Amino acid sequence: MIKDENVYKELESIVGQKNISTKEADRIAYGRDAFPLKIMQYRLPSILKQPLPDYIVWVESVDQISNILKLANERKIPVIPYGGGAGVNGGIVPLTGGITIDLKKLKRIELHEESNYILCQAGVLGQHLENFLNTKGYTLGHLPSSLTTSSIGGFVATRSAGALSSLYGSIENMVLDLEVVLPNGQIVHTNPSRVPRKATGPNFNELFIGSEGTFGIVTDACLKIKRNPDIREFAGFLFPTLVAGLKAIRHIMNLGIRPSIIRLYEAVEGRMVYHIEDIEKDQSYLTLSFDGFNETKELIEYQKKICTDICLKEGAQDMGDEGGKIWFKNRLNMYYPNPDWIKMNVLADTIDVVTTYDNLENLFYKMKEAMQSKKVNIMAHWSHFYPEGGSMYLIFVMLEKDTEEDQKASNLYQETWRKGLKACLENGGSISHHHGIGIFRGGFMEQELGSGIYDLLKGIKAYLDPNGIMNPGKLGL
Amino acid sequence: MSEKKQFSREIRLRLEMCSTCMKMCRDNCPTAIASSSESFTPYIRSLNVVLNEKEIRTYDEGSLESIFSCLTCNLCNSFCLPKVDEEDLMKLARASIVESGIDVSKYSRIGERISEYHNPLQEAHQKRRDSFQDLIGEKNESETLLFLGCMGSYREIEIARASIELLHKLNIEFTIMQDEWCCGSPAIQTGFLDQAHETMNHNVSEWKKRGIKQIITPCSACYRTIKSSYPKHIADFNFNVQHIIEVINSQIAMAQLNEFPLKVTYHDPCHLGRGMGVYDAPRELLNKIPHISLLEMDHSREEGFCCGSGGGVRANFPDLSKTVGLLRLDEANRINAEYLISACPLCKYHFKDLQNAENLKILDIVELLNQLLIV
Repeated sequence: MIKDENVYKELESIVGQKNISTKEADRIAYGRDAFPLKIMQYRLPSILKQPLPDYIVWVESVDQISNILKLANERKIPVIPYGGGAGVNGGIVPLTGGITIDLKKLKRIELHEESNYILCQAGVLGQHLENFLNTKGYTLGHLPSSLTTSSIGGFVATRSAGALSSLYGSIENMVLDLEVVLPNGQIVHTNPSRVPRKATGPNFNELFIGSEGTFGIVTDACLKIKRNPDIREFAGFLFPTLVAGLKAIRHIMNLGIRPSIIRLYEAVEGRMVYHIEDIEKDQSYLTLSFDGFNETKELIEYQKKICTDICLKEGAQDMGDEGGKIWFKNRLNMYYPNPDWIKMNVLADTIDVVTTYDNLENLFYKMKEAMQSKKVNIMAHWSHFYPEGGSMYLIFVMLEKDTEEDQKASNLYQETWRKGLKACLENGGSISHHHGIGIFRGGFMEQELGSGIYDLLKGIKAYLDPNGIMNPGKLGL
Repeated sequence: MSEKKQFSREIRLRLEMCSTCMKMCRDNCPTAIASSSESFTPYIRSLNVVLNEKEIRTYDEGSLESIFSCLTCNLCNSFCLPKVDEEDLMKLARASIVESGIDVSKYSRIGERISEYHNPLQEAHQKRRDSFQDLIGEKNESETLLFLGCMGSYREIEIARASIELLHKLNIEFTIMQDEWCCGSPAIQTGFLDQAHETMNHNVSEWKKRGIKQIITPCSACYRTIKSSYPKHIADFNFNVQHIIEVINSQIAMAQLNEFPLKVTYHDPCHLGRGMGVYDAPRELLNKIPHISLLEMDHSREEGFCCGSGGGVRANFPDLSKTVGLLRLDEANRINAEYLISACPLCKYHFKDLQNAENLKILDIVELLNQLLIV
């Protein structure tokens, strides 16, 4: 079914007949990302009531995107950029239909070794870029759990962070320049000279990083690259309390040591991840990793020794490197479907929040208290650390099932999210560390940003996208 | 249309797992990479089957296209923790679609072609032996059968001839059927099980009449089908089935081969590699060649990339098939290989069809060994 024959013909004239579809099967394929609620809803007859895009187009050039946006602006049709569809917040769900633009045919990679950067089009999958860089001896240092399926454009649009962020930084620390197609079709660069820093007013990369396709479509990124480490050493520690673990992390960061991985688990998740049955209720388990080169081997060893001393001083037990090695090797396993969970209709999700050191423990207990119930279990870990604080992953697992008549699971899921986010804001946290905003968190954006800045966000949106065509309903806009 | 049959609980669970996955295999699925489309990914293919199975949404053009565009290479399974076995799921889905009477002629006509021509290539059956008759003469009494397959008989004649010559040189006695039909693989892969069973029954009946005990084939698809699928369909299947690589690997020593001082890479055919777990024998054989430089591509063995021609995709989705094949050839070019060696006539035929760089030559392993074997 074609919603509007004229729009279809105009889109077809831009991208060609082979690059456009209005088939229902394709529209269903593009109606969800990895948002757990959507995935659950896709198992039910209600799938046919879900919002779907009206047109899918696969673009082969930036000019095609520009022409599509001009058309969409003229006709006031929503546009949703689609990379890997790996987001966990429904960022690409077309809430009011429209044109979904698949960017995966934009896959050019251009290495500029002499200045340590790479030009990478938005449709390249993270894993493909990392494979390419590794063959040349480099890494982006950006390894989110979605690496096999998320795209470079998605990294930027959602303001993502990877498992090694404590050393290599998150995506905003890696971007030198972005090519963006603005809603009016204009193609701009945020830092055309690709210089590492400049004092020419605000950094416009920041305007588009995390904008979730609401301000324009990121089509190309100039990204900093690093030499791929020869060595990755692991260490593991069991602390008597959560606070002791957090204290040790802060101490390590204060000394300027930057382990590539810092992950602290409370007892429930710790037992599950490390298969150590006897982690007691108040204890916490810390994994650290240290990256370096053959030339800096001694430096790595020295850093590891200092960190070990710090942890032991906080009463930790040295658990050796096995736990960390196993975690790193198996880190993606939990993202595969679990047959038992499917049989039992288990619905699980993660809320990634962030706060300062002085509040990390408090925020955990406050959010846990708000979210947990007889049907909802909570566990957590802390990762992505900075000298001032870090992020916390609250994982909730619930046993409930939607039926056609009763949306019990959907309702409980949404209620749990709302309770968690509300508790986060009431207790000094910020509602997203690196998964972005998407659908649910949008309702909390005014409270998160404060009315002045929220009005500014809306003002920027109104300036850039007066017709509101770009990914409507996301980022709280 | 016949009455709708439900898949077993176990199959439904595998479909559910695949369709609810966070897309963990997508960076490796050849059709997902080549098409850039979500619809050509394992999880959306499974979703389309789930929706039909649950009677939420019946098959239509889009979902059939998604299901029939699968190469059935099962590369996704190498990256699937719960091992849902997408190849098996797609074969089951296709068989159930065909059985239910849905018109799939737009996506595959292999069933009717095998019935009519006894090969999927629409070639005259009576000409099946024409291209190698001069090498075998009229004799042929042996308990060992050389099964050349449709591609060997009609398209990759060089492989058929090299196989015959190689076995002759190694003094291995064999016969070739007067009335060989397609092994049935293309019909199994695309869901035409009645036609697959018809051709299997014919072949086995002929073998029994001739007192065949052992079957050797240079085709990976024939090998897998005869060794693995025939016993599931034919109760008293009692034949020793070997790929020609396995036979000659035990017969050829390094001293018998001329040197080949060139850079060679081996492409694992999906049927032989992931399908049957044969990864070492071809590499052992190639390494027996003096001065050969055997290089591995980025993806090999369990993670070997598909040539792009399997599952009926070459015939019915030619652009997609071509793009996948070119991605594989790029891998060979990236390591500066001078020869790409396969062990499947369909892989070789497809690569040769796409090959446009003169610096990379495509050969089947039996052709190379036949050239190098010192008699």
